[in-house]
Order: sequence, then structure tokens, then C-alpha cells
Amino acid sequence: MPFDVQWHDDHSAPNQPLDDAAIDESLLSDDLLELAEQLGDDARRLQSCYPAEKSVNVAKEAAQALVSPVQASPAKAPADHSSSRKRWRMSAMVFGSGSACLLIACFALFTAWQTSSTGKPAPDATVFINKTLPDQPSVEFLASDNQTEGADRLSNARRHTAEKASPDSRVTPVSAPALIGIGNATGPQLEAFYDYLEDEDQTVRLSI
Amino acid sequence: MADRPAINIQEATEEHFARIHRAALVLSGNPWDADDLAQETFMVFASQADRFEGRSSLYTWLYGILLNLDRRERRRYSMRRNKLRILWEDEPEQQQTAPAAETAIEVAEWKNSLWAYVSKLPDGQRQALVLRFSESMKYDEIAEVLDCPLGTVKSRIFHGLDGLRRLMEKDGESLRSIPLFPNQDQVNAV
Repeated sequence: MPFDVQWHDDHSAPNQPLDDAAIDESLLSDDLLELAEQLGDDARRLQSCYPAEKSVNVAKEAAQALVSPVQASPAKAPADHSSSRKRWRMSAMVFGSGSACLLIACFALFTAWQTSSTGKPAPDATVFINKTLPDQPSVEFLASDNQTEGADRLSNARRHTAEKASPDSRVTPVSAPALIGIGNATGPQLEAFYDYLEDEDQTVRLSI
Repeated sequence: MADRPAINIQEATEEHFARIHRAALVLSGNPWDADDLAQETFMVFASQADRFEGRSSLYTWLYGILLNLDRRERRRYSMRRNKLRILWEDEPEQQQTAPAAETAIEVAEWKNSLWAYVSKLPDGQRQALVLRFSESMKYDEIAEVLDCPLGTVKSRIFHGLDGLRRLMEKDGESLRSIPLFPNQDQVNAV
């Protein structure tokens, strides 16, 4: 039995100095302990590759804008409740957060309308697709300036794409990560995706 | 009744963002979703800071927000995936391959780590393993974050590890055969 009442007895003592988790994990079998150690190692390696420094500034600005609009420019930040809500909506949209659902729905409806009126969706302003190797199943992601910024744009682009997909649109719900992951979007789906995203002015490139 | 603790949002974000982002990275499997999850956690935190009563530590409260958002995102992802599959199957005269939108974006480091297996476990086990082995939280802290009894935490961690072992065995993987980190070229590729 992996967990017994011993832990509870120990824990009930005041100012118990023992590491509670260590007590229980000492009861695990060797192979499970090894798995636990490997989980910790893997987490530390993963986290060392993608530190949070860049993202924290965005979060701080957004949180600050949310809680204290009066500290921003007076012309832009009246302190009434409705403006605060608008500011929240704008920040949430910038992050691609789920809280922007309403805006996303409107956007999808607009896109569907535009598709039906022009026969072709508007190009995405974020991504340029390099079509020189259309049969290559694996997809390589390149950012012309730096990896992080390019990755951010790609992330935005895929959300943008997912948001625009609708049953009424010719655009089938293919997203950039899907293409990157396995490259199995072929034929009409891929063509629709190309049509959708093509914009040569941008700096993020996907080689397919 | 004690007063609610005063919270400086900026300072709290500065102090706790890195650890929340760290957990989000392990949960989501890629830095972009981790950015979104962590940022949204602090958006929720900023909007609800006046509800914090100080009965738990601030960071355990933040972890609770993060895990709720993580559950919500996974639920949405699952619903969207099912909807897309239905759309795909209803599409006439199409060249049919697997619905591509099912594939989540992942990074090589995560995909080659044990955390990719952990992502296949039930939510409760998955989150308990993240809090314990990624975040090194104690069991009572985990119980506080997950809002469940201590015994449940122990059970989830044990069964999570056991489930992880079974998943690996099913895939014919042993611990030692899991590759360490790929070279830098693979790291840069998405």
C-alpha cells in the first residue's frame, strides 16, 4: 500500500519540520522514483530553454492597465467603468486570450461574409508562405529577424487562422501548427490555407 | 474578521510570473501557449485581486487560476477538435486525410520529454504531477491549489506515476531510451 496513515500522524505534530512529500515518495518503488526524478530533470531543461523574461513585461503592462487606468495618459484612460472594460478587452485580444471570444466571433462572421462576397478570404497580414517546395511533408519554421519574435507572430497567425475558419467559409480549418506538426494538410485544404495566408510583405516565412 | 491583504499587482506579477510561466510551459508543451496561459493568469489575478483573502499564499492562489485556465483551454480544444472532425466528415468530394487541425503545436524539447506522456493522463493526475515534480510543491500546498484532500493528492501522484509508466510500456519506451535534449537545430525547429 503506497500511502499509509504514518504521514497524517507526523503531520499532526506542531511545527513538523519534515518534508511531507519526501515521506510519501520514499514509499514509491524504485522505478516510479526514477520516473519522478526524470520528470523534474525534464521540466528544468525545458524551462531553461524558454525563460519567462520577455513575457513578464507584457503581463505587467496588461495587469497595470487593467487595475489602474488613471495612471496612463489621461486622454486615453478615463477612469470610468466602461472604459476599464474596453481596455480589458483590448489587452485580452492582444494576448489572444480566450476572453476575446466576442471579438473573435464577430471577426469570423465578418470573414465569412467577406468570403461569400469575394469568393476568396482576405489574406492574413502576418504570414508569408513559401510555396517553392509544395510536396515537402515536413515544415521548417524560419523567422527572418529572430526566432522568438517570429515564433510569436506564428502563434498569432495560427490563432488568427483558427478564428477565421467557419462553416460558411471556403477556408477549411487548417492551422499553422497542424501544418508544422505533420504536414498532412494536402490538396484543397492546403490550397485554401495558402490563399488565406499569402502576403509577401511580411517577415515570418514558412517553408513547406 | 481580518482585513484583506493589500496586493500590489505589479510587484506580485514581478515576483510570481516566472514560476507560473514555468508551470504553464510544462502544461502546454510550447512557449507561445505558455505565454498566453501565464499572461491570462495574471489578467484574471489583476481583475480578481480584491477577492484574495490571504487564507492561502498568493502563489498557490495563482497556481489555482492557472490550472483552471489550463482545464478550460483543454476542454475548448477538445470541443473544437470534435467540431472540426464533424465538419471534415461532412465535407463532400474532398480528398480526405486526417483532420490536420487536431495536431497541436509542440516543441521538440517537450515532445521528447516525459511531460509529453504526462499530457495524456487525466487532468487531476497531470496537474498533480506538474505541481509536485515541476514546481516542487509540497503535498499540502498541492492539496490547497487543487482544492482536494491530501489523500487525493497522494493518490493522484501515485496513480499518475503509475499511469506514466504504463503509457511508456505501451509505447515500448523505457526510461533510458527517452532521448535527452535534441541538438540546437532541432530546438530551433518547431
